[in-house]
Amino acid sequence: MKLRQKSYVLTVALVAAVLFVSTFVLVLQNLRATFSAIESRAIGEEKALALSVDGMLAQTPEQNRAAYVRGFALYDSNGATFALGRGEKTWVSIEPVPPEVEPGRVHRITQNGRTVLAMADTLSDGVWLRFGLDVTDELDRTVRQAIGSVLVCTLLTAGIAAALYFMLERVNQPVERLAHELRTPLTVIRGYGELLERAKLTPEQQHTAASYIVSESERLGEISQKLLTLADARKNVFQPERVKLNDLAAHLKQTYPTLETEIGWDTMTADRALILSMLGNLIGNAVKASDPGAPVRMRATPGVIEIIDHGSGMTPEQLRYVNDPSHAKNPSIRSGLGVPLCHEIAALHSATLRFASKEGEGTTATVRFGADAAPMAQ
Amino acid sequence: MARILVIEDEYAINDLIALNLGMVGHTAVQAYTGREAIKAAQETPFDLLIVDVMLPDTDGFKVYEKLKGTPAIFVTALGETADKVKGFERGADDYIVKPFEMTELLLRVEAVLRRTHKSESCYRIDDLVIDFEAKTVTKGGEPVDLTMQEYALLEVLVKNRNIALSRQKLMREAWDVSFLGESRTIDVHIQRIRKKLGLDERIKTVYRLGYRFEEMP
Repeated sequence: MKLRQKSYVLTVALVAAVLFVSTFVLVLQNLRATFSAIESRAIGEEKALALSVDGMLAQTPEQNRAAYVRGFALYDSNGATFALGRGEKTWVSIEPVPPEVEPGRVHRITQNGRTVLAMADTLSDGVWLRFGLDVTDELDRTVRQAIGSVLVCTLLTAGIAAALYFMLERVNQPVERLAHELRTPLTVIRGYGELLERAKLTPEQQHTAASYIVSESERLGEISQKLLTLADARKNVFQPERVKLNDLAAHLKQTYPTLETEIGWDTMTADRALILSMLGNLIGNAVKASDPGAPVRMRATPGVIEIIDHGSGMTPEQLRYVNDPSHAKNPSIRSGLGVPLCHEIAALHSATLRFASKEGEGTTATVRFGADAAPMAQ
Repeated sequence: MARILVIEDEYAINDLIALNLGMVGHTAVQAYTGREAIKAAQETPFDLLIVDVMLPDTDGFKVYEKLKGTPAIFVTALGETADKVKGFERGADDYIVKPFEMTELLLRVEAVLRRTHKSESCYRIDDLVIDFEAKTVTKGGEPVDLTMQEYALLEVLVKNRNIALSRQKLMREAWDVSFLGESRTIDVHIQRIRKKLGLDERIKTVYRLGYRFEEMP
């Protein structure tokens, strides 16, 4: 794996880990809070019962108490059970009676797959109360919710991590290609410079060396220009304005004399400089693919601009690459920054750029604009 | 004099490598795609391939596999293929990373040729004969007595003929020493070689650079 990919994976893993761990901690805390809320409710119910029993006992004569208290057998509350008595005597017991528990704390008892919160209390005159609350369903629900949250969070984390990875790839990719493009001119300039400095060359060889140095320096200049345009496009220095298609065509014809235009779209909304850069790139590629002097056609119809050439065309592999440069697998396709830049400019205009091509027959690049640019179409 | 096939799709770099190889007396044949290279090599075998890893129609490794048996130096671009080349190290004879120094490439070429016994065994110019295997020099048929240092210096100059080498480079390549300063020792030895072999016209001082052995003064 490349160092760059390693650092991506590391970044993504780190973000995913932080996201996952923090969600996990949140879910855990939430779970704990819910448990203690359930426990508080159990304590509340027990205290309420104890208070009402105590109050009633105080108003009832000693001999009638047991009979009276049996009336509590009608006590009916969500899953609550209790037993009440004095000394050895049990006055009332609603099954299942929680087993002997220490007073003053809440016990969690699990039997037959049910979970019961059990408490014991001593009331006045040696009357005891044992209370149990079946919280199985509530606990199940809470745990199910927690598992659900963790699952959702895992999915989200995976999604975010994947999105982040691809974003990192996309952001760095043209820069990488640029770094690659720099190597050839650097090797050439250095090599011929060395040769001029160290070798005794014939005048023709000197001329060759010097002209290679000049042409490769120009290439460096072009790369830096492209980089600047790319940086602008990145910074979203995007200033849409009304652009006359005929003006664009006239401008492009000055650079590309073999360009033939057919304009059926009057005005579009676009960033003039960026659109010119994109069309210039596409036309430049078309001219390069065509025989010297052969015409290249630019056809504009409302919402669509096409650049058509009858040049050498592209192999299926090259075609795949120019249609989706971000997924280039084969590094030997050296198209440079031009095509990714065109895609980027198209995307800024909510437009799509598609190439259709046949080897030996030529290529058509189609830029299809979205609704933002189209309303002004006539 | 080795026959070397240069396989590189960038014309400027291909020309550059060919020009440099020609300078030091090799015969360079240029190919720009893997297909051309395989065709050329099947017609007449080569002593060495200098092959770019990334070619428009295939990759350099495939060309190398096809021409198995011919030693190869791979030209790679930093970061992208270094790993791949490492895996290949046993097969490939050497590799060099772009952007590279031409003298560096020439030294590697010479090293591979020497290892595969394809380097020139002797060099003749005027009435001088240098036997690289016996490490002896004769002038007009008479053996000339050179010290080890003088001979090593002469060999490096002749192997990189027509290209100026700095004093540091000469020290490192001829004597395998690389310390700074004191590179004027080279001057003293050059003076002696010139005197002993009558090479005043051949071994030229290049201003601010070093020395160059010139085939055509």
